[in-house]
Amino acid sequence: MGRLSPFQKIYLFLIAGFILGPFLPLIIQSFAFRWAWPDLLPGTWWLEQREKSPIPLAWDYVLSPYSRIWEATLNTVLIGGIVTAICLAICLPAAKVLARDRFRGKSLLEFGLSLPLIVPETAIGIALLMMFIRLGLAGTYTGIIIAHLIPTIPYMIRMLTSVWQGLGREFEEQAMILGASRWQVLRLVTLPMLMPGVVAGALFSFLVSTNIFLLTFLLGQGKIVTLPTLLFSKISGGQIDATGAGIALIVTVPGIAMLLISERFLREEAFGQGFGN
Amino acid sequence: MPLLAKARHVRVSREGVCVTEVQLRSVAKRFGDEVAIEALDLRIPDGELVALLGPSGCGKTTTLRMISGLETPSAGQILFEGRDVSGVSVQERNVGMVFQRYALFPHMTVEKNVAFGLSIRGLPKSEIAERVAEILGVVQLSEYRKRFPSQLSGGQMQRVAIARTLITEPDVLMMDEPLANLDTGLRGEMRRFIRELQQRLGITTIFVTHDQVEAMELADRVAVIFDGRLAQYGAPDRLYRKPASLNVARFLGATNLVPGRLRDPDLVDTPLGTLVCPWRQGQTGDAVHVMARSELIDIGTERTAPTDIEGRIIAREFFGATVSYSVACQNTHVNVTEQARRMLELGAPVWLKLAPEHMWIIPE
Ligand SMILES: Nc1ncnc2c1ncn2[C@@H]1O[C@H](COP(=O)(O)OP(=O)(O)OP(=O)(O)O)[C@@H](O)[C@H]1O
Ligand SMILES: [Mg+2]
Repeated sequence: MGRLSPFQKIYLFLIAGFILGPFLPLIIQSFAFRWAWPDLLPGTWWLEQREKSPIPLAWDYVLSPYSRIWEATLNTVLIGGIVTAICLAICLPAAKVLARDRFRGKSLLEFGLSLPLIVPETAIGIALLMMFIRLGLAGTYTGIIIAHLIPTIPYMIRMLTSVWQGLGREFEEQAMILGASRWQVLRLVTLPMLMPGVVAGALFSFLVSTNIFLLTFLLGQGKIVTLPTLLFSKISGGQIDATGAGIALIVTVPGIAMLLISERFLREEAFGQGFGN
Repeated sequence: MPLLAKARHVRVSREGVCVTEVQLRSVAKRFGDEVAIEALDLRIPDGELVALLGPSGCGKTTTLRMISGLETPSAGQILFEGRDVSGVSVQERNVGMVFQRYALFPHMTVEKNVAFGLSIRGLPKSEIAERVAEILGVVQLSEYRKRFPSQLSGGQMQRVAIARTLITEPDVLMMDEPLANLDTGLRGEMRRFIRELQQRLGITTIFVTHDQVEAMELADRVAVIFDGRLAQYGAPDRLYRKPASLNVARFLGATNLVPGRLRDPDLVDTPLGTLVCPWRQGQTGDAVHVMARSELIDIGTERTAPTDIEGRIIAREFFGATVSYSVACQNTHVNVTEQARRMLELGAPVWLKLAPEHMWIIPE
């Protein structure tokens, strides 16, 4: 690792600014009491008003039970986690077949698997809603989890298929010849070798799930709040106030946490430098 | 030898290492409609090093995979020490296989890779450590034990793969093109390494190659396979001097294959004239080929015997230690190779001596 050239520094700085830029007004807003356009900074800060106000303001409100933020966070993480786990369980074996076997209708199946990415979310949501109301799944966790699987599975299948393709059969065959049982092969060879791809896929489907608004909104029927639906209800008036900004910031927390955890995890895997040959 | 006791198909050699005779009885393998192996009969004596030699796609890898149990033969039997192993799973066959691309587990260090076969058997940690240290010493990789496979050279990776296989004390060791991925210098070194190791351990070894020089140098016996069929099986010098068919002769690099017709048990009419070669089979009029290895033909500038064949040098190639001449005789060409003690001039008239004992007749 050498030093960065000035050009590289500016480049990185611009990218960081582009990605992190929108957060700055959000952070300021979340501490504001009144912030009128075109002032550069809020005219009145939340802390100045904190003692005077009869009701909790800004962060006090966001973190209070009235905001339902804890409930929404818990729901979001729970649904995201379960969706990811089910998605992995479905996609790992499916991707293995897609990567290693040849069969009739394979390309048709592959095309069909990307359909959910092409069909508008609204159409899927309405169609599911009609079915789920009849099945009694509307407004239930089960219903939402099933709905979340629809956009996450295509991504996961794609990622895991390429991961399986990168893993030749010879590693598993070698382990078997050395005496490993099927279970030992899976545990000691296959899964560890798939791990980087699995972690990336899991991270991705978790992020997708925790960001789904429309499907959750339609199928949750207001009974199940997640962070995106909660945020939407706060900002649907077209205005963003301190509590809206605060909730918007909280919405990013599960994703960031997941990112950090997986980052850490991947590093610990200590794959020398990639997969030799 | 703690692990050996439980393997069934095992005998113990003089050196205390297990040896197993492997036999294939009309083994066939089809993949769908495609026939990979027609019918293979092969007996690999215990403790020998046998090469499966053949062009790409002839079924060498498939044969190894069937012996190891990774593929099930479509027909025929595979026997270890006379016992059919069709019901024995890969895990229980107690064979070793070194894959062409080594298949080292990339997420494990050298040490962990080598220990794999023992740790899955649940051996005590101290015993594993001891045996890993010992085998790493044998393959001269002790100082690399903490490295990951991606941090090793090709030759080192291969030695790790061999160590990982040998530590489980397999009854049969198989290697798929063990030298194909190495550069020329390393190839010679690994060839000697494999040969020495095999002789020291006396383990029955089958290796696959499509390089005839490699097969000759390493193997006790060579099985030449064409299109899923055994073309010839025998000691390297026999294959080299007395190939059973034209294809085998060509595959083993024979250059002078002259068509002819049998006139008498000892005489063949060829474009080079009537040659004298001992041959007690076939009938007068049979079409045959006469093989004369280029290095066994004497070339001279003077006629010394009435049977000498007259020719003219039309091309010359100098290889340093040897020199190779292309000689036009009558209406064919004959290649002659000799030690580069002298250089004959292009266009010079020469006389070739084809000694009867250096010629070999291949029936059509
Ligand atoms: N799993 C399989 N499915 C279908 N055909 C196969 C399979 N494995 C091998 N074959 C076919 O069987 C034949 C023999 O293959 P094999 O791999 O044994 O050849 P090989 O002698 O090892 O060749 P190479 O020197 O190129 O490695 C080939 O025609 C190959 O296409
Ligand atoms: Mg092969």
